[in-house]
Amino acid sequence: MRVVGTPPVHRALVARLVADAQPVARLWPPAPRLAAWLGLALAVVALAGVVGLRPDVRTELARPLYVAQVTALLAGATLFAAAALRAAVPGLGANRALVGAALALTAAGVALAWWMPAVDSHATVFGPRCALCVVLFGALPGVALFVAVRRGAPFHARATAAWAGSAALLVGAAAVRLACPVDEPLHLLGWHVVPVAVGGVLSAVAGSTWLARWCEV
Amino acid sequence: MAEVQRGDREAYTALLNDIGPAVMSFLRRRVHEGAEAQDLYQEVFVALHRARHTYQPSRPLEPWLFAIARHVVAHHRQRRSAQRSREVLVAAPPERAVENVGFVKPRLEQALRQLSAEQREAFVLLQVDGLSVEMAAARAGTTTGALKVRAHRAYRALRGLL
Repeated sequence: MRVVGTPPVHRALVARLVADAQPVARLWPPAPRLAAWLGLALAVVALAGVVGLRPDVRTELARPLYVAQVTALLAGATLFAAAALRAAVPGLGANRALVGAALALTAAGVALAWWMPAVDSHATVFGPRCALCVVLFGALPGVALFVAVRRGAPFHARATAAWAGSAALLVGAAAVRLACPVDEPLHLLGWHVVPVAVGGVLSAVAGSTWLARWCEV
Repeated sequence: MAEVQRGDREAYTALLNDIGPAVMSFLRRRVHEGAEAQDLYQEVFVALHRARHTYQPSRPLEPWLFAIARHVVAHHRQRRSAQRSREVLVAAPPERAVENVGFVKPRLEQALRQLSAEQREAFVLLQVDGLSVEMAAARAGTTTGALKVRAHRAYRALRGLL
């Protein structure tokens, strides 16, 4: 019998989908998944503090501006990750406020560098190495976040991939901030934060195709 | 839906039969061609099937369902727009079958076509479908405040047009 208000194909379509109705593992809500990801991100940052080149990291951690800078970068990463995880669950609403706040925190993290006294000037030596380390420290959180987002149903694959990539690389930038002995603002901007922006754009291009595959038949 | 996630086929059949008319009505408001709406209907159901693990039982079904439907329609419009940009215009348009619109009078229908898609949707959800502001907002994927603004603008525009 035909269901009123549905097209003729409805019955056959329902029969096909119901025949394929296997039990599915329900996706965790974004909050616990974000908490798990943040645990991993903090572990990566802590590792960078331990293995980094900065001998005065304990002293620096007593300076409020230094701690505020690392915290702002990590908070920005967390909000980008939250936006990416929410974007993979249909019907959770817009993420504009989250992304705006993430951008503001990242900008604040960069701006704080101008209030801090510069200590060293090995910017040229450490520059490319810092950019590489941002990517390396961000790799594990990045893979974890992309896999977590891919488990859901990301509609706006390009934006979601950009947010996930930015979140991961901001963790890398926070980790490198603990490991790098250079405090010059231009060094921080050019070699710690610009790689995040470039990586965000690249992950939007590269990750969007992979994330969009969830809906392919 | 929680039973559907556990693989209960009877619950799945009942759910799909239950949401079918609402999904079709949603699509008819957004696409004018009947055949196109039927294609999208299938796409929405397949997308829903593939995303069924993302539903959280603690949340209402409607925003989740219509977010999927909206995504399918938006994706379809992008594809169509890209396709149209590649098509060559013909000298005379092909004959078009008369659609069974049925739910509005011809003058109102003509006036509705002059509204923006968002205003038209707000009007139809509130005045034709008779939904509450909260339900209409959930279905349109927006806040109640934004929906009220859209509806207000639609009423003002319609007063000028009719």
